[in-house]
Amino acid sequence: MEPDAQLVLSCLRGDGSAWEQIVRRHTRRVYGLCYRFIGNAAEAEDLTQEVFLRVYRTIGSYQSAQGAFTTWLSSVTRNLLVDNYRRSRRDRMTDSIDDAMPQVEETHVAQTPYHAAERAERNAQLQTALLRLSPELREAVILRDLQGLDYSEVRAVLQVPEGTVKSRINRGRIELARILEQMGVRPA
Amino acid sequence: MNWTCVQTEQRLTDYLDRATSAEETTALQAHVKGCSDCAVLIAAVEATVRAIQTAPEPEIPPQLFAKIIDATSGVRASGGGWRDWLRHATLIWSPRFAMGALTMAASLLIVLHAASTPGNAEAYAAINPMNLIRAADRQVHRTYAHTAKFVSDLRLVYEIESRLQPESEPAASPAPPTPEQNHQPGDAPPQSNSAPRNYDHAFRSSELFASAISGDLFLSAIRSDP
Repeated sequence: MEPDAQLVLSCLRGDGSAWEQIVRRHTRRVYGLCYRFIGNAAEAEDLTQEVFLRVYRTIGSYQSAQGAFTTWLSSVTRNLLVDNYRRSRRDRMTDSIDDAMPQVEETHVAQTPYHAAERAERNAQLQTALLRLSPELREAVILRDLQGLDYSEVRAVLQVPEGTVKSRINRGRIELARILEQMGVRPA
Repeated sequence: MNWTCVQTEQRLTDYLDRATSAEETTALQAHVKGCSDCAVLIAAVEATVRAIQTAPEPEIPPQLFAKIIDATSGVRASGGGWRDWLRHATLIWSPRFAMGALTMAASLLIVLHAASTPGNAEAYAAINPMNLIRAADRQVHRTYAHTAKFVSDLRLVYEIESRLQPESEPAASPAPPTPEQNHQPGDAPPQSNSAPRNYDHAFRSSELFASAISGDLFLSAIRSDP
């Protein structure tokens, strides 16, 4: 049995430290997914909390036989992201497109000031380009290339056939490359 | 096998993942040699994928973990409680904060002591500048009286002690004679041996010192204040 599944079992038996370990192990993944999809640190933080709140309430529904815990967790996160996207899209109906474009925030620290600035700028451009992708393509690219899930895991999270997953990832990558080109960014 | 630009787009991810057949790979590569658009596209997508996969992870907000635990189980098994509090209260350990806190505590103690507050609400309510000055005045008087009495007692003890000493002993430790004008009215008469004179000198010094520390000048300043 994988460590996460054991932790889930301990958690269901009422072991508080098991839940703490689950949160500790997966906060980075969930926050990363939220941040890459939304592009705003504060919103990503709120949504990460929401994800773990939902996971805490529904952890009993996780069955290790159906797949890895990370896949289940990514599904929960993705569903909340989609809900959040729909909600914010409704809100944006009255706003201009420019206002709706999330502000890109960069908090990563690199070795030297020069490299830090360069890296931060490149990362911000990448994030901006990601946010210009349609949500369907964006989530597929994030899950595959940023979260490192394989195709079957992405299929399990998105609940679509594997052919669709491959197609979305392929289109997402090409679209992203074109957006970066339009922005005048040439990835190294 | 004929290969088109549309096919390059459709099979691009499989090609980069090395998931195309040998026949497809050969056809694609042959096409790319004569098609700069496809060559540019492949290079751009390859670079983009590399950039995404090596992009730095966003920094997690420092309090996120604690917020999640508080919002869910509310129980932190490791490191929580006072340890967490201490970890986040790093400001307390800074020298500037510690010095400030110490100064405040000392000031408060001095004020409370001077005001002679017994610690009830009425006494705290009575703290005002005039009360504080009066209390300080009383305290200075009391301190001066205590010090004067202490010096006087000490003098008496040393005088008795010096008179009880045998006549032959003081010669062992000769000391420079004390000028007669240093004697004050009411002092014991000068002795033939030097020890009492030394003691007398010490008494005089301690008296002056006691007078200084008991705030004689401060007292006179307060008294002159209408």
